[in-house]
Amino acid sequence: MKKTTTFILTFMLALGALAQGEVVSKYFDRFADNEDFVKASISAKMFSLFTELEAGSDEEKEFLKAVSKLKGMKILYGDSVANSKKLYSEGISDVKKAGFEELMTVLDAEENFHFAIKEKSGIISELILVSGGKKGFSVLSLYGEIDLKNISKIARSMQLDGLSNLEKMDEKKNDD
Amino acid sequence: MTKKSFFIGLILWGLSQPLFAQESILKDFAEERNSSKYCLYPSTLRMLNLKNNEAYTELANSFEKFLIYDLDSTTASDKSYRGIMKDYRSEDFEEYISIIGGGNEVLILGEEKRTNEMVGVFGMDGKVFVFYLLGNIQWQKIPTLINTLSENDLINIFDIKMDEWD
Repeated sequence: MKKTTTFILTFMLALGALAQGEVVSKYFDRFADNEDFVKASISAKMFSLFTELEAGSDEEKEFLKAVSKLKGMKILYGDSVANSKKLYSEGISDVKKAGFEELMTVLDAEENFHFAIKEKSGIISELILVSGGKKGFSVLSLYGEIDLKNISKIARSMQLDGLSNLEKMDEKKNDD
Repeated sequence: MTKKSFFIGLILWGLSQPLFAQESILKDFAEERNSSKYCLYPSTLRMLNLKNNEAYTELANSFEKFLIYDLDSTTASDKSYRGIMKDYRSEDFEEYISIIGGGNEVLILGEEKRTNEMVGVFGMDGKVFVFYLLGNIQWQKIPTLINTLSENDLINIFDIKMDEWD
């Protein structure tokens, strides 16, 4: 009985790991042959290499600590997309259908950002960002064990502009 | 040849097979085509270090072998090199990073459990390089290297024009 339970739990965990990054993967397949979109994927192996790096400054130490619990990242982006507004709406709808919970939306004259998370027992296992502007569209997924406070640090170090919007959540909290 | 030496030879050959097999996938592919080949070892990598950067030397010493092929334009445009990356995946090489689109392509696969090998593709503006790397790489030296290395500290091997040596 114990063996069966262990097997089922392991199987479910494996399925859960496979499902991570699924929303972005769908867009990877859809635009596989479209050179207007850049498709980037960083695996758990790459993040494990980051953890081997020697940190010099405090900023580097913070960055390495923040990435140490990440299992992967997938990004699709295009900055010259004809139907960016339609893609942005589709993206938000796909994220909702995949069972993500909305975290924050930033509406801007130039670009809109939609953040959503998958959370269980207080642990965020995946963060998705969909952004769309006049010509640009991007969808990003970060998965692993995610601490939102650290994500903006990663965003700053990796120059992921959209994710730095998460800092606005902290600013809002401080204003309240 | 005695029976004993035959068996020892057979065992050594058998042990060496995983190593050679992994390298040969890329080697066979690139050498059948008109690719330029750069074969670098710790000694050759150290020779490129004009300013004797310490972090670079330590990193170079951790390489056992570094093969770089500059693929010919036909192979670069028909993208047949993607097939060999599939072959490496079937040999248990795991993906570290992949970036594709906007005229650029980066793919790095690695196998650490048995042989500490890496293979990959770098493509930009129609030029495509494929590489094979063997060694227990000192990744922790990279931030120091980035912080201490300046432009012109290293010889760019891709700038060396072999035809001008004739």
